[in-house]
Amino acid sequence: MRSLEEVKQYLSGKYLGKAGIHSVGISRRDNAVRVYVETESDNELEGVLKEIEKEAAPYKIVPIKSQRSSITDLDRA
Amino acid sequence: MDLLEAKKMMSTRLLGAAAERGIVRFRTLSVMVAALSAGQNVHSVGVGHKIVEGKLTKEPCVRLYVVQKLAESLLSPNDVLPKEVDGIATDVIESAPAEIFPNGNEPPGMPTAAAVACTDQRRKRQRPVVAGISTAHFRVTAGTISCFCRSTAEADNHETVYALSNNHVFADVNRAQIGDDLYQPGPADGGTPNDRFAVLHRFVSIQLGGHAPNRVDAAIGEILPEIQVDPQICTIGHLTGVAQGEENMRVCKHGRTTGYTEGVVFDPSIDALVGMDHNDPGIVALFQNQLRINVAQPFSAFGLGGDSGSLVVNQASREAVGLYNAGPPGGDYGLANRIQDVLAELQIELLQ
Repeated sequence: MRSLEEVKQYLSGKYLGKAGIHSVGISRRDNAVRVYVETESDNELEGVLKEIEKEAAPYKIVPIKSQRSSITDLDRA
Repeated sequence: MDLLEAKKMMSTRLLGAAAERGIVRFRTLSVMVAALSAGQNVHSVGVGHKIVEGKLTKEPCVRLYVVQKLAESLLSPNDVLPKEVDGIATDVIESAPAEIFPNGNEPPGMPTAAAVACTDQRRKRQRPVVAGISTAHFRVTAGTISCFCRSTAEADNHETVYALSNNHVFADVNRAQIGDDLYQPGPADGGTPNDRFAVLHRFVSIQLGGHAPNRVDAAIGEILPEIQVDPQICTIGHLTGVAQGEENMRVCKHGRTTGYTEGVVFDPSIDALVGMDHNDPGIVALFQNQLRINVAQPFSAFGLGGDSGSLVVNQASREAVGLYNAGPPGGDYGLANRIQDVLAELQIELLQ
């Protein structure tokens, strides 16, 4: 059986940047893959999450709405 | 009167009295003992934003750190702490006083007078240079010195001391040249060529585009021979080692913008697309196997612009776990490179 980290790495390679997905992580406590999506939801997102759910099995997926990160030096503006 | 003048006035009045009478060292369950020692209760004075019902507000205040909070009805009029100083609010915060511990084994998170002074000056020039304060490459605005380290690379002198920060702070996202000047404080905080404290020595190139993976956003600067360094982190103190960042671990950091804050490791292995240019959201880089840290109460942001480079430290053990480099605009979470990846890719070991 694939480990949680392997599944995360596979899903991250396939889905990062699609349908507003900006990060993919894990929760060892919940044995789940976390899928972080932009606050503004994307029309394709529902379908993509269903695909991810199938590919992640037997691990759960937990979608989390969250803004994307940027580097945090002081903005010139 | 401004905030710092108000702090100075309270510091002179309350700490001056404490210096004469001494301060109590521990909380007591005896109401009588507590009331009798109320005049020896204040051990530190600082500034910050007022905390109301556990939440940080926007109201600036003078912070009065006491060993034990006491009901006003128990106190003699002379021992009641003022609610304001010339119109500036005060906030009474209960915390244990600092002590001198041999071998630097003092407990973390204590607001000592030195720590308060350091954090108040975190955007200013500080000599000797400490970690957790303003820095940057001469073309960058401002970030934070993580900590100090030595190189384990064969070609380097192993006695030389380096400052650690992010590539995007010290190397301007791959654009800098080795040997470029690094300032403390950073240019946005008034740093000029007179504030050179190090020169860029090495950085790990960041692969842009969002497809090639990165593990770290890291660089080191060689401290100039004439610059003195105190290898501790403002407010946090000396490191005790390094550790793996694990889910639910309580962590802290001290940075140029938000100072000392705490968070909890929410995701121990996140792959994230990170915006690399404030003016162009299309320029991204993929960072793999990062720590996502959610801000913890009573703090409102784990980190903000200018905190890049802050070292993420296990709050209980003071072991380094990560190198903060990114976050969303509101700072409700932060991303950090795993410290083990930073040490391996830069070929360094941290000074404790």
